Amino acid sequence: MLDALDHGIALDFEVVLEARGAARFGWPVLVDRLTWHRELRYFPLTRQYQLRDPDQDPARDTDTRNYPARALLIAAMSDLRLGLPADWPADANRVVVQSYSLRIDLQRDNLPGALRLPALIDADWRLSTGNYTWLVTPNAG
Amino acid sequence: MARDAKRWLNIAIRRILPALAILILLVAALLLARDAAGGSNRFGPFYPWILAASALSLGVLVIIIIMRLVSLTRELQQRMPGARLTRRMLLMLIALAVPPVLVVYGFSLFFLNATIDTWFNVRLEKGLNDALEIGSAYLGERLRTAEQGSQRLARELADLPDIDLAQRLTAALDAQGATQLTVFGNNRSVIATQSADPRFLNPAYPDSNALLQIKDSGRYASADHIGTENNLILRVAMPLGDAAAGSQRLLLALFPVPAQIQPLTAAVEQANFDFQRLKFLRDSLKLTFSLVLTFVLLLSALFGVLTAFGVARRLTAPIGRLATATRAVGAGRYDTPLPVGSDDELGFLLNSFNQMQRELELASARVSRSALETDGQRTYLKAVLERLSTGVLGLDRDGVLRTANHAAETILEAPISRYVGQHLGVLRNRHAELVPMIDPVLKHMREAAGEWREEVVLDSASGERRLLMMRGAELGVAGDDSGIVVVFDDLTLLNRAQRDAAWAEVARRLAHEVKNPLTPIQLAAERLRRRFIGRLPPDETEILDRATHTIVNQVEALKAMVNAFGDYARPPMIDARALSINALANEVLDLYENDQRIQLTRQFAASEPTLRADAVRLRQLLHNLIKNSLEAMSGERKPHIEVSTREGADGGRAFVELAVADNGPGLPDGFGERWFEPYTTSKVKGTGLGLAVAKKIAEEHGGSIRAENRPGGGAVFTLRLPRAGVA
Repeated sequence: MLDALDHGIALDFEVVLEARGAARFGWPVLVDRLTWHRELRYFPLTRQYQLRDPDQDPARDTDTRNYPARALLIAAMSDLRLGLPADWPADANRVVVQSYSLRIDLQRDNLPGALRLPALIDADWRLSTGNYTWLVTPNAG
Repeated sequence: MARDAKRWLNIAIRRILPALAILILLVAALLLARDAAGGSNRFGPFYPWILAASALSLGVLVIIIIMRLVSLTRELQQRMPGARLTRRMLLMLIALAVPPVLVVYGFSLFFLNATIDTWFNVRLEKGLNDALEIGSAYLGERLRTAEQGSQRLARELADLPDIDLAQRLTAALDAQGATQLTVFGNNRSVIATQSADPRFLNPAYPDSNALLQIKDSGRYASADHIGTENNLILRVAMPLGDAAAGSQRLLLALFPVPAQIQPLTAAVEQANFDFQRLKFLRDSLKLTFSLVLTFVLLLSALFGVLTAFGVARRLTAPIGRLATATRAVGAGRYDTPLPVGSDDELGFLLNSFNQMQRELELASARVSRSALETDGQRTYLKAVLERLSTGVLGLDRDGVLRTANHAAETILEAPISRYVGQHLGVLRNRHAELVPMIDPVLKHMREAAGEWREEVVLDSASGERRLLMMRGAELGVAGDDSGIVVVFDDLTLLNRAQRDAAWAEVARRLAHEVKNPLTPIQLAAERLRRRFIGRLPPDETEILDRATHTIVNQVEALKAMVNAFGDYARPPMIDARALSINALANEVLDLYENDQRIQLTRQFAASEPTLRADAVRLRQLLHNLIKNSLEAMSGERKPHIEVSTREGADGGRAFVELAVADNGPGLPDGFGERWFEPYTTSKVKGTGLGLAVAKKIAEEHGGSIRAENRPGGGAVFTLRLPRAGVA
């Protein structure tokens, strides 16, 4: 996958944060959901790796970061700081949030067409952190 | 309703499902090819679904083909009309369609791989890398220039208070040709900023990586990409004054890449970018295109097989229907007209077949009517033959028995019908008693006598002698090899009846003509005796005495004989009453009990059988049988007569039997029915009427009498009378 990055293929990661309430019919109620995207790219001319938010308007983009080495890019990925809106979760007034879960997935759908089929077959391309869930203690809020 | 549902299900399976599966495969192949070739990710989220739908469609097509194959195999096993032709056409069409598809597939795969490999030319790659190096060197030069200018500006700004920085930055913006100049203070605060590009109104504080470089080398300089477009900007950051001395202010300067250079560097980078990406995706492209080609191959092959099925079915269906109809016609059914769907040669053939079928139906109807009539006549003739009392044998020219009626078996007392289909000689060999009858037939056949008649005498297996009158005639017209027919009548009964009638007539005449003069003769002889005995000389008296005595005795004998004839000739007048056969036999035997000449034994049935009969006639019958035995045993030293009774049943009909057995010489050779005729006797004395009268009495009672030799010597005469009595 890193080889793909070095050959100019952009890797898109989706960060999903979900707030869940008490279980209803055996399934926790989804209170709110927040997603971020972070894209990793390599530019051969400047020999720089870029970490950016693809959803961000380029005119107002102040978060894009460039790194001269891949290790720095990966280090930056491990130290992502994502801001939460002040009113999140939006439905928290009606439903008591009991747990949060966080998951980061590689977006295989955004890979080039030719790579998508091998990505479906090859397990190396199934990159996901899985759900990391933590419960909300009553006095934590 | 159920039939409609089944029809729709059949249509769905045969028509809609294959078409849908083929369409899905086609769309999937197109989408995959489009995405792979164009690098688009428009259908990215649907890839798993597209692949799943394709696999499902392939499965559906394969299942449909397997179903059709199974159906065809079943039809082949059941030898359904048209099935073998369908198989042959199917194999032929598959052989025509599939190999070209496979060849095209192989060549396409080869050319695809070869074409993709040719994309990655080594010199092209080197050229792109060189161009990238040039671009990179140019940017490095621009970056050094920017770095030097920024360094000079930083030294100038180092001594200025914060309040004057904005004014100085404005002047420096134009002087340096910068896009943005910003001075950050403590806590990342912006002290002053100037921008020549509205896109860069918000200055971004250098990230940790830049700060780390500033800390290490006193400055940060980098050509950074902005956004997703290949827009480059040169970013330089350094502290104002000596950072080691504790300066907290930081200058950030952004410089543009010249407008005429920007697209060139972007193009160089994009070209290198695309090349490297394609190089990385080479195997994936091959895999994807191979998969697409495989989809197309499977689509073509399965479509070819399905089409072959359809075409083979369509072509062979009329032939199959024709074969079915031919079988039906062969089986005599003409109710399967074939639909003529086309006006080609096949349609002409079906039309001709329908016409032939109609004509055959008419002809068959005529034949059926004729056969029915023939069958009716045959049945009628057979019924007539079976009811004839005359025996009939049908023979072909070779002497093989073709037909024999029931009367033939009855008369000949042999299972003639078993020999139908066999030569008459076989019957002759196995039934020697029929030789006198068969030999003349064979002789006349050899002589080819047209019509003939002959009287033959048969000694049947039961010992009865039969007189047959045979007549033979050729069947058919001259020259026709139809054989001959032999008819014969049993004249035995007729002959016997004629003789019985003759004897009855004789008896009547004797009784009338002979018996009447006997009394005057006897009276005359007695008168001669009374008048002349004693008046004539002694020698003459003696002669007279003997002569008259002889006359009287012979007259008595004649009277007895005439009376016996009278009994025989008397018309049957039975006075039937219920009686015990044991009692009647005892009554008769008691008369002979005192006769010292014979020993009498009685073996009567314990059940005291009774029947309805004329006691007088039965007594006479028993007397006759006992007298017959006594006369037969005249030469025996110890004559012994055993009289027995018993009851039994034969064929559901109850009977009573009275048997008179003796220990005499037994029956003479050749004893048969003839011995029960009048005046047939082996004895010197006797009228020969005893057995004839006995037989007549038995027949008057609906019974019969038979004679046979005893195993230990002697003869036994058995009278059998029905329990039901006399009618």
